[in-house]
Amino acid sequence: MRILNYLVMRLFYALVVLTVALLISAIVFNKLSDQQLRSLIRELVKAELQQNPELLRTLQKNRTALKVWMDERTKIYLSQYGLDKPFWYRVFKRVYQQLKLDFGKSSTMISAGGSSDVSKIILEALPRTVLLFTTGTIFVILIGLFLGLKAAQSAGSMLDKSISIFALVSYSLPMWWTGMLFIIIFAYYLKIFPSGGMMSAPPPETLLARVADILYHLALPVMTYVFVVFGGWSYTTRNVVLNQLQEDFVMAARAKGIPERKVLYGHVLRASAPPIVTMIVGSLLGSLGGAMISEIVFNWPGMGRLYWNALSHFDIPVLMGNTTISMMLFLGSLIFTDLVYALLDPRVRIGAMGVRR
Amino acid sequence: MRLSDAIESLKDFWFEYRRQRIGLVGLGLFIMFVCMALFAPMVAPPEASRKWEDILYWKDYPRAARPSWVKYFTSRKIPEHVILSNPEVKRRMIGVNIVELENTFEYDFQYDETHNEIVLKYDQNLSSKEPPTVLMLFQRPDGYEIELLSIKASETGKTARIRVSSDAAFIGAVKSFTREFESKENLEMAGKFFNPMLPLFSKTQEGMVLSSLAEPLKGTYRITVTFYLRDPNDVVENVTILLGGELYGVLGTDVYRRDLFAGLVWGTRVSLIIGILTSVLSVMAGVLYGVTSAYLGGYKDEIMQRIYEVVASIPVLPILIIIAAVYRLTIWRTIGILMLFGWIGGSRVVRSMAYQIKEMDYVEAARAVGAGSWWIIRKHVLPQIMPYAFASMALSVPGMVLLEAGLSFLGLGDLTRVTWGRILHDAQANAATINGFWWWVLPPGFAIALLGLSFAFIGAALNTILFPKLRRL
Repeated sequence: MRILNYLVMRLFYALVVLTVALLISAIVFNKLSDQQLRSLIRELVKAELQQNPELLRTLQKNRTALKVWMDERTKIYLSQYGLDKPFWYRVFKRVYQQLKLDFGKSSTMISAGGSSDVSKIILEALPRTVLLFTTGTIFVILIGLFLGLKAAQSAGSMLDKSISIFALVSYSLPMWWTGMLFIIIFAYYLKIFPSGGMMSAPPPETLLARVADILYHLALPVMTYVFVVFGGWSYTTRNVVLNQLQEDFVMAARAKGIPERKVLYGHVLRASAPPIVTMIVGSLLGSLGGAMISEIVFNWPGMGRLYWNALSHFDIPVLMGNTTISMMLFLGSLIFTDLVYALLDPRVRIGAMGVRR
Repeated sequence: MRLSDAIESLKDFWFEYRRQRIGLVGLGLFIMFVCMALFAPMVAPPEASRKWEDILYWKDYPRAARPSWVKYFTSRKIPEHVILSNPEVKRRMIGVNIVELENTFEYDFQYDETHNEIVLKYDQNLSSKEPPTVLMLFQRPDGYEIELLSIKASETGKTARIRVSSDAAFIGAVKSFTREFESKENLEMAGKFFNPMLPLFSKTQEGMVLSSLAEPLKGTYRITVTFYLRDPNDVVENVTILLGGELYGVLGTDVYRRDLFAGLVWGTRVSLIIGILTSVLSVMAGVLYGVTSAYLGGYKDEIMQRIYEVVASIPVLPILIIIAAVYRLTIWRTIGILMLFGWIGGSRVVRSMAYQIKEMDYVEAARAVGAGSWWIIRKHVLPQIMPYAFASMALSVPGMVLLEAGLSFLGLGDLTRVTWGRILHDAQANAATINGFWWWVLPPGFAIALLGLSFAFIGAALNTILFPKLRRL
């Protein structure tokens, strides 16, 4: 059960990181939400006075009484919103709420379903980002492994050199700008793909047509993602595989007369998998960030575009909630890669399952 | 180390570096960007960066104009942005206290399409406090005359602008002129979308109000602008006429009439400063952290490594968005918050390098003869780590440039200066991609990619020289 222990440890560790990150954002956010809540309370007190004409009349005669009354009401609201509590209490409370996924209500934005619950708004966006990100990553893995192996097989060839150069070029390419470029080329000039959105308006009737429509809209964002990311993957794969090719077991396999294809795809790829996964982790998170910013360009209604909208409305609950969920998404994919690593690395697995294999 | 030694080792280094082809390409690109940043005030308006958000500053530029070199690739001659100045001036008194100031411009129109707007601009100093009456007369090459404008100017400020082409009097004058030649149906078809600029520069024939049928009337146009001043002491000077075109400058303009070349050149400064400073400072901080951790050893090292691990797995982008949203970012704050997470880059490798060096015999020998910790770090540890640090500084620049551009693209960058990311933010907010404004979208992105690429190349070359074992490219 070592693998379960490992998973629990990783989860606990991710929780620690999440808490630290949330603590930082809660401290940063405290000032801002303070200001917003205070002006909200001022409005509330004023509104209360307006709604009660009798009270207004009696209070208007006496200036000091009015002031005393307003101070009192403000104080009540302050304690209601918890603003009278000390700074650290409020910060930790916010972190706790975020960890409980209790994000409150949005001040300006509503979900497609018409709800102003922040968690509903985010839950609507989350699967779309995951769809875009995973589809892209699957393509990148396939292309990256294939090209990396080919390049390693013929090290020093034209293919090998161009992959290395392309990896350097795509290393400094902003994914979101590449998206804009692709829209101009493929949507504006060639008119092959739609320029943005997730579905045609109005959406098609049947389920099958609807799925096809989403895939059609998904094509250009995924192409952009793959174009920017696959170079780095191929290059990493190439380097790892090249190292493995010099190992003794490869020579042994070749000496036994195992066909080259089998040596490459069976033995070498099997042994290269764990180091490839380790080296890819960092770039994976970077590309998740890139994918999220690219959503804005493609008008893809995921978490990245939610950021854009929340920023333009300056909607704090949505911003904070979106941050929490995207951090969880980041950390979740980290844990996932770790798990893949554990499953791929025979040392971890043998330790986990005894001497079965 | 003496100066001559330093020069000698630099020479050796250059000898090695010279043979790295991608390194030279990277260095060339880098020098190009430095030149762009240095000469920004000379090749672009010096105030362009500070006034980027000030729409009034860009009034005299054309709207969403393509770069002017596009003309070499089109079969039709597209009008450029034309500024007519230095008119022939005649000044005479008519009646009591009224001065007639006549400015005559000659303009040779040779394009296949018409200009899209006319703006009259002049400087004035009015002692009578009463704006002059302006009369504009348009003489076409075919002999027809159109009186364009006879209005009392309303502006009393120092520089007055009259957007002639959207003035109701002007539109009316052109409409009545076209009525003589144009069929009723065509006029009806043009209807609400009647564009007065089209018949103004077109041959007098049926179809002159429709862009599909109108033919341009080429030749010399005479435009006379006459001011009637209320006081002999009133001064009106520097009269210019702007004929709006669809081509302008090196990189064209955006929908807010801003010169995109100026934005690109000025944006270089921000990207260079942020990219280089953040990388250098973060790598140095990382080196310091790594060396300290290795040197302290024991449980202190353990604690520092746990802290490192937590910071290393904090998702940078979401937290940067939060910080940038709350604190309005300036260049320096951007550098600060990027450093907050940037130092983790090389610190782990540095730590393990320092650990190895610490265990070496010569370090022990040094300690045995009484060398202090700081002396050992300075003389034995740092010199061996610095090459690695330089390479990772260069390699971390692209990431920093990308992050800054990403934040600016989200609208969270320094708002007092123009940056490449911000130009693209505005392009996105105005749907530049869907409208096909390629000149607005392509150059800033290319600049970001090229700047990153130049450092990636330099870093790769440094890696190859300093760590021959990794020789791969």
